[in-house]
Amino acid sequence: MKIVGIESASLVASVAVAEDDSLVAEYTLNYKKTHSQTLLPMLAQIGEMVELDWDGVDAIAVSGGPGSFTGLRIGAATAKGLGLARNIPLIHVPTLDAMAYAFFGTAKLICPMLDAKRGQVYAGLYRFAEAFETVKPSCAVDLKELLSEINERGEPVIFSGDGVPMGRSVIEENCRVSYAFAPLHLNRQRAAAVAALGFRYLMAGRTENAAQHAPDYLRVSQAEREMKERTGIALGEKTVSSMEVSDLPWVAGREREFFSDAWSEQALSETLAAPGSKAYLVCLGREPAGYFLGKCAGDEAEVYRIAVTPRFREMGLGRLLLETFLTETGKEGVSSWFLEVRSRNREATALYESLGFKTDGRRKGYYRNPADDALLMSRRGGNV
Amino acid sequence: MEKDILILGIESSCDETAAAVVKNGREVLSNVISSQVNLHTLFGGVVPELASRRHIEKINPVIEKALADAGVTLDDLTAVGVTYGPGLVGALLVGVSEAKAIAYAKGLPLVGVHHIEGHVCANFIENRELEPPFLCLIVSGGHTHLVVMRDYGEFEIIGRTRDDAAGEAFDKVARAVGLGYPGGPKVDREAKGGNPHAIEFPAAHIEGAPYDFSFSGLKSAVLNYLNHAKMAGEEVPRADLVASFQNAVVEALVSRTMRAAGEYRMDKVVIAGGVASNSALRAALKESCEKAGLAFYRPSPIFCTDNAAMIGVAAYYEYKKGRRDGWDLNAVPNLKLGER
Repeated sequence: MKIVGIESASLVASVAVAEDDSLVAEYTLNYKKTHSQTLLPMLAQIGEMVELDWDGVDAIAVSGGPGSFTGLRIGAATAKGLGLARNIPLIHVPTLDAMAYAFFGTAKLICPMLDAKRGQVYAGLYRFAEAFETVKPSCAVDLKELLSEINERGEPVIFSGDGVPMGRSVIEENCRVSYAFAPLHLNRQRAAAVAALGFRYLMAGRTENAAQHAPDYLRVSQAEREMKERTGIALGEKTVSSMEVSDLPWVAGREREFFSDAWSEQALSETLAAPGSKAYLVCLGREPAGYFLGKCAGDEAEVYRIAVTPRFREMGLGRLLLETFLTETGKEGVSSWFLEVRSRNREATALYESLGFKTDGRRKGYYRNPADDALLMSRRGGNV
Repeated sequence: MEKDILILGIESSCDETAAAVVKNGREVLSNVISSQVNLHTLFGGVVPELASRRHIEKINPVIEKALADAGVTLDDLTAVGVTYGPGLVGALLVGVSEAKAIAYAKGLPLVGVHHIEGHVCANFIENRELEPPFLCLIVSGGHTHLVVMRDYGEFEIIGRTRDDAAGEAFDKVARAVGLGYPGGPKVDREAKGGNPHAIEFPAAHIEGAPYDFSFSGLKSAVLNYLNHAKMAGEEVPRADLVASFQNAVVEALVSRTMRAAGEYRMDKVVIAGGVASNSALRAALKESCEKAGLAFYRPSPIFCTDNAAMIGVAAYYEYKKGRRDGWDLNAVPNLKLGER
């Protein structure tokens, strides 16, 4: 098995080629040049040195964050391009996990940390007991807060990463357990460690295709943060909940806005109370953004409505609502799902088709305002 | 017969993720654009970090669709062309990194493309007979240039904006009158119901630079007009206001273009960039060119907006001239026109 490792989460740029238990090549830079200028030339150079045959590469392990947003994206786009071009899977290796894995076998607690700016570090806690364990998953945290957690655990700890030079005095002042700073060959990210952990994930089947891969930033953008503070809208916080009676005025309002055959609040309330009713609301933070209405009876279920407010479209909310319905009713023993949709609503039909619905028939002139045929679609068996 | 040259173009300089396959520099086999406009509308304008995040999510499906629509695989390609500037650095880096990785992994030549040169080259797609030299008016959210394209890849800038780009002025005025983002198409639509001569806004002329533009004064004049009306308690008909503003912009663009065409003895006039899809500008320039006996070319709106077909076309001519970029190609957010 052969893996190419890519690491570009912060200042370090590193690439590696690994085959089974051996590191064939590694090239690591910790220098002020953008990853865009270094990463691919480095890979091309080691590839040439070791006569790398891309047909023999099984997967690309990429350091998936947290870290510098731009740095992560350069690594991600490089890995995605390689994966697309050579049709090989990607392995998403969390950056801090790979850094900790470099301390294989230590009895101490391992604390890799990266400078996260705004007075915080990206950090996690790890240990080797029976196996490699995550004690505290990667997060953005205030260093003093992290240190008090380490103090409570009372175990000796090793610190590594570019968060150390920045936080050294805070650590020295506040750390009450025995601690050590990692030496230079271990104190920064290394693509070899990404590849090594990547092998374990590959064996466990934890791969993704190149199109799916995106970094884990662990932080929303500043614009989203400000919007959440100002309006309560959080684009990254999509939650689906059961529709309550108190939601009905909002839903009825959207019905009037979107549908020529709008359901009244009364009709909605009766639908909600009917046996087998399935009704969900999807929110972005505190803001309602869309809803779903359907029902199930025995092993059959039907979709009545899926609606998303225009400004929150193209965010996958309709899909999320439908997936919730399919999963929940599937668990309850439903094996056939039915719906009707306007034949010209291409967005909706594409969504249904992507989730396994097939067109069974067509009702001519079923819809008015504007006139359109209804497509009758169904889906049988299978998981979401 | 010579072998066909097939280029995969990739574009991610702002808020559209796009890929296209172009044959022999003129024939667009596919043109896929994933727009983020809905997302950025929530924030009243393009948010660079969100744009970059969306690019990473969309870029592979967009490229795969472009190849599938064209009915080709990466093995059929001659080269990969990618926008490396100007634009948002984080957004550019996604396309640049992806393009480099694909080119490297398939052993294909890599050709970096200037985004604005791409816009100019969009005119070659639907006008097979068009060849340089010609005069080009480039108008977009980030650029307002009058350029003489001497030959493929050779641009001489003869006029530029001293402050706001034309598209920027549209966005700012649209926001001030409550039309929202994106301003260009919204002003265009609203202005159709208004009187373009209701209010006379001043057109700025720059002493000693007859082909340069200035739109910040015009934008301020619109805002001042609004404020005065508000303080006086007067209702301003929005359609009249934006129609008059648009008319002043169009007037400034057309008068300079026509004058330059005369002085530089150009018999062909071309427009490019996002604002080139403005209906008033297209109509006015067409009319003026007809009167002056000049040929007038403009891309269809789908090739005016940011797209990768135009990048594939520009890459083709760069490729023919021998341009090859290395794996260290970087994004250059403020890349100048004609700079290499």
